[in-house]
Amino acid sequence: MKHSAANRQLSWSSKSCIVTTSWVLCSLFPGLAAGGAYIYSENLNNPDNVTHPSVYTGNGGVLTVRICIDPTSPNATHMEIPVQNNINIYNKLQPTTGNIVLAGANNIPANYFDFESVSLHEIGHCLGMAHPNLASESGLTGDDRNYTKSTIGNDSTYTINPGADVITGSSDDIRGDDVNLHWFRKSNNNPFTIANVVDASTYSRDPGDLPGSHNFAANAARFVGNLLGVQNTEAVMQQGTSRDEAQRTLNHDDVATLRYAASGIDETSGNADDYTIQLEYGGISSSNCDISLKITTTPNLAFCSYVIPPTALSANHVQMRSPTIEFGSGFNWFFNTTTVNQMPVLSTIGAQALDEGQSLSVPVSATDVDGDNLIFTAFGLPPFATLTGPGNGNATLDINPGTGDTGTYTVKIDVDDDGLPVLGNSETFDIIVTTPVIDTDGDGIDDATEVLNGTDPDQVDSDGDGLVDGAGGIVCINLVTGCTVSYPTGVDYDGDNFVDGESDLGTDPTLADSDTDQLPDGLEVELGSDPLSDLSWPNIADGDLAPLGNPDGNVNAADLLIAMRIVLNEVTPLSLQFAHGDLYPHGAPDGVIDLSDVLLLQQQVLGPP
Amino acid sequence: MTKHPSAAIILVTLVLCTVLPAHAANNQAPGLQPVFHFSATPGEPVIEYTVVHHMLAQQDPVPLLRVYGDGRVHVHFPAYMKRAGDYEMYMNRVQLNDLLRQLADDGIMDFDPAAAKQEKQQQEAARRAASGALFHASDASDSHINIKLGQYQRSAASPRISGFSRQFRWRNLEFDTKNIPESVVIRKAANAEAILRMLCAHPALQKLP
Repeated sequence: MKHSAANRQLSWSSKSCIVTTSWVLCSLFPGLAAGGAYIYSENLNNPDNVTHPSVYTGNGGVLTVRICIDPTSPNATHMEIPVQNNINIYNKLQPTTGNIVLAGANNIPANYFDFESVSLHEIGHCLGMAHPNLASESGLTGDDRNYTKSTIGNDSTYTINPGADVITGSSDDIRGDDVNLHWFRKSNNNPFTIANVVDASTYSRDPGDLPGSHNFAANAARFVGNLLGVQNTEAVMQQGTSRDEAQRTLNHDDVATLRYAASGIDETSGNADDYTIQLEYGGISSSNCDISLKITTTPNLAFCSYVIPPTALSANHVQMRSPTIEFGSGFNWFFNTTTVNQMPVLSTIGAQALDEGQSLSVPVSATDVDGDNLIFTAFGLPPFATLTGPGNGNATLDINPGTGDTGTYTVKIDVDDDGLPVLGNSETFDIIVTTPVIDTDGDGIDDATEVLNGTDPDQVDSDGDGLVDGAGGIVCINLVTGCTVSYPTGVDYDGDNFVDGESDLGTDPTLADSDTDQLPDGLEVELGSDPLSDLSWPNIADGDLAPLGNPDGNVNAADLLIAMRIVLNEVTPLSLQFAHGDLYPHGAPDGVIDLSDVLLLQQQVLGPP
Repeated sequence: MTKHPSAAIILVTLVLCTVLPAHAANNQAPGLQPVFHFSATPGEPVIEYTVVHHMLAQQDPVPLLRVYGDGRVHVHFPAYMKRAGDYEMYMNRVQLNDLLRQLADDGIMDFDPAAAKQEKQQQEAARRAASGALFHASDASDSHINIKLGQYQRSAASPRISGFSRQFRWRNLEFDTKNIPESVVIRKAANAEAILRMLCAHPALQKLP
């Protein structure tokens, strides 16, 4: 079947011989040598042409292509994630299948075009790739556009016949004298596969290199994929997008086309002129941009415009310049907000507690499914803590607090990847530093607290009242299981085999007589009176009253004299006097000091009558 | 909807007066002015304008703009466009004549594809000779303007053509306008397209239910 190209109005293509300053574009070619689905090949009348990104000058290495969003563009901020996703996809250069995601399975509203998918296609153009199919520039319509890219041949018209399988663009197409412009894999002519090495040794444009039974180079149209057992897959560079259709990852054919160009001018991989393209996101900027994207009032849906400079890199190699992508503002655009890049996962760290003088080394780790480099950053670290990270998702938080560092420190550790956009994760936690508990005298109160309280950290009974300074249960009175210190003279009021500390009793560890009744707290506790009440006294009943307020341990005439003065109301008795001087009735004093008590005391001093 | 709403006509007049150069209506001598005859039958479009987007897998089959002989202007934006829907307004016979006259002045009626292609190639060749650089764009769009008239006479000295039909087709008209500014054919055609696009955005257009 011959198809007239009469409706190819004002096509750029012609067979005229064009001579420029440094290259001869006259190639009366059919069937010669290699070429590829590269931008402008048909316009240059050179099917062997390979078009390279603007940054390639023939020297190999890693070449950075900076992609920017024009600051004057509407929806510039909405474009950021889709464009960064595109950059991720091109940098990974990962061939995929199933890259067509149709309505219901994607996140695109009905009647919207997916900006990210269209942008991926147009960036492909701006990197040098052409449509692998004849596309609309052929002047053909409908499914005929899916035939593999070619020239019209000597007969000035496309020869298009789908062959026995009736699938356009497949390997059995009958294309007459049309000159193939599409690279194919020599071993199988299957654009849904890719060779490990992509260069002239494995790919060709020459039909003579096709597998035996094949008629023409197959392209990665979705129906060709179906024929080859690959569903919902198409080259991103295949022209034709539908609303509510996502195509956000590259196909094998897209990757092979880029990699073939990257094999350099010699079209042999492993040589010095090989290059790797690294796309860099330049942000919403107009500075130093290699490719700029913008939504404009253009009536077009989208296109990449570019310039082919006058000087070629070599006979079959050109670079493109000044690529710019425009999208029509009149269309409904969906801006994907889901990033290709995945957030790193930070393992739980949790609160960290330690004493002054102690050290802690806390492992910090994170993982990233994208395999991005991970960078840890700490915020709010106290001076005694450092975060060191050898990389590979591992770091160490070293904490070494010294004296005076006691406190709670809120710290945040971030982990960021180096993907596009940069994504991070973080955890906020406390470092709790406490003063170490040192209790030199073993009285149950640490030294710092004793200093604060005014007690002696070296004395279990600072006020000498017979009570241990600290809390009960801390200091042993007898050697019991687990108890290593014995205070046999201490008070064990509740019989739990531990000394009752002043903090238990509520007495003041700095005062021997908390209730100022002239009876030491320890004595009151020991003898069963309340050390906190000056109206409570023990029943000592030994008659030792003198000297007044400071009994001397002797019972004699001086004591009898004081007792007489109390009876005569010359001295008002206090708890101390009641404790010693209330003798009657014997063994059960009545709480008063009167003549009965004096008589008993007199008998004690003078002897029985 | 009421036909020929007077307010809309006034508005259309105002806009067209600013869009169309004055000479289109008044500045030419009567014998030099083109003459148009077209049927006022409601169903016959005199002017059709549409844009074919190469990137689209499925083109919308309905033309973007249709101007009928009775003055009805029908604008159709496909569902995937921000202004999705069908819109209408009316222009009177004088306005429609002015519009046709402008399209004629911009070369649409007498468009010669072969001559235009040749001129473009010559301009491109001249640019290449001067700078060596080649300009191109992927994923183009085609501008289609169809004119159908009962009779068309370019000037008094020209033959009167009955059953006149002209199809204007141009790929990447906007891009060519920027990159081949020397081309009169392209520049005038771009002007004609600009007028039709402005008509598509006319504030008097009312959305049909």
